[in-house]
Amino acid sequence: MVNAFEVTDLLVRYGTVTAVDHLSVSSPPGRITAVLGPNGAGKSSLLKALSTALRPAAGAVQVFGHNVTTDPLLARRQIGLLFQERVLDTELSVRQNLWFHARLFGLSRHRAQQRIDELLGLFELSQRRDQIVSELSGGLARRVEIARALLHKPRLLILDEPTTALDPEARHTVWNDLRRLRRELGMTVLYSTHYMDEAEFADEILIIHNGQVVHHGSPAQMKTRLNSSQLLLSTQDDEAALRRLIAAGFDVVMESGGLAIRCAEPEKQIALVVQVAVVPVLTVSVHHPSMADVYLATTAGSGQK
Amino acid sequence: MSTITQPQHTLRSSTMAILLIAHRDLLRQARHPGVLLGQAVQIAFFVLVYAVGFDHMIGAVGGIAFSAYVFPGIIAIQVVTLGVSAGLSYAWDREHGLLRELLVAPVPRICLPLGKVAATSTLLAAQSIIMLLFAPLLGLSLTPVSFLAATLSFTASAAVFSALGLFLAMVIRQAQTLQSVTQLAMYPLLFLSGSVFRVQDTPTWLATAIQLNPMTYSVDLARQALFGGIGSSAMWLDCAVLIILVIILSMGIRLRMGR
Repeated sequence: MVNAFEVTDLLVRYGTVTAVDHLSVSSPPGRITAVLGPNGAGKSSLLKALSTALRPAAGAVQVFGHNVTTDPLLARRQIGLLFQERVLDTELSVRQNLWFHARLFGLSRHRAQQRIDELLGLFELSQRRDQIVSELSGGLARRVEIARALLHKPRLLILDEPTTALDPEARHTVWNDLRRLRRELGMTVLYSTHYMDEAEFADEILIIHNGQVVHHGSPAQMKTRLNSSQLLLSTQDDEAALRRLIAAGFDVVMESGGLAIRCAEPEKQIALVVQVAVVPVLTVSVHHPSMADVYLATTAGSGQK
Repeated sequence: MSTITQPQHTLRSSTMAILLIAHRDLLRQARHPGVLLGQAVQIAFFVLVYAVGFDHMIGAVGGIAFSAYVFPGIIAIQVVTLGVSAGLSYAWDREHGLLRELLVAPVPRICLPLGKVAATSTLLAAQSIIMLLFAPLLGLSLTPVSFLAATLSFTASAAVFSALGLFLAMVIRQAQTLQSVTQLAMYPLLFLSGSVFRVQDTPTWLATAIQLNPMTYSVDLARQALFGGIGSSAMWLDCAVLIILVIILSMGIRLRMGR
């Protein structure tokens, strides 16, 4: 079976700056891949090269077997794209935005109308069809963009930091939408993000740094490898609690504010920990690895400079 | 390699894409009636102050009242100004990320600038028609033929000069810089063109400069379309210059755009 996307030895340069440095990655159809990395790691450049917006300096990029450099028009048909920036025409209505996109992607008038109705329904935007985009909230505008990216039934959805600049509620909605798409349409999805919790929706996580892949694996693999989720505890007698917890087999260290227990699923350990500690517990908090923790741990582990 | 692109299909879908992009652009412009109104006021002012004001001072040019003589030049100023500005509006759209979505649509990329050219030409054709309808007020009698010929010549000029604006937008990537360059180029372009005076009456050095300006040919074409026989160069030459220019500009745009 042909891969949904296949990047081989990709090189992207801006003048003398190398953004993507001989990177290779591929995905079979139906997989969700998350790209993580700090700003300037080359995430956006990778996604741009895949979406034919940028011409690679070297290497090959294929989307469902179509080379993006030699066959950009065929490759573009396979791709639905959500940009980091808002790119809706804010002066036009929701329907007009969708209409022009559908028609540009070669849908007939009839088919365009049909798909617009379908997607407005799917995203509960039917009431908003004639509203001007500038009147919509950030979250709703994002939904319109997702709907638009799906109009031409792409087989690969590429999302560049889809929830940047959204409030938490809107972020939540976007992820619900995306998970539903995966469930209902079985689409191949590739997205970049800064948030570790968003990376968890993926089947495969790719951490890139200085334009190269420094780590890849499933979220579960990543977590076990990192083992850096923690339960933070303060008690009336930390020393006593520390002794008891160590005796019970926990990986505990004393820190300035109390005790830190490293474990895979800290939420599920709270009751046990409180019970084992015996001394009255004052506060309990859960700390999950942030993007920075993961990033630092993986780059340190892979022996990068 | 699966290059199964049927040429006739590509041509048809490209034409449709250009029309769609133009349609979208016009819809967006229609949301700003204030801008269009401002343009109308500007030109009315120009006709009133410049043409009518100078009329009594200068009198007639080659048997035609001065205000009537410069009228096509004033319309051409409007057409060229707004035509070249199309490049600027394109550059701002690009800066705001509005073009990114279009750049990854499955149509050849040159459809984007060409869509802008089509939209600008349509808008300027409509504006030219409206302005021409006021011609009788300046003592300029229109026949159906001269009206049609003048409209066509203004539309052609709109296409040529919006292509020029877009070409500049391709070469100069920063909207801010482009704005300064456009402003700088605008005055010599507009006024060293015979738009508001007769080329034959100028000193040789100035006439040479004027003949190097492509707008001269577009003004001349419009003037000949309206009055016939009082141009500074042959009509075929006017057409040839404009056609060659638009071909060169399109090739330049195609080169800068990529696929």
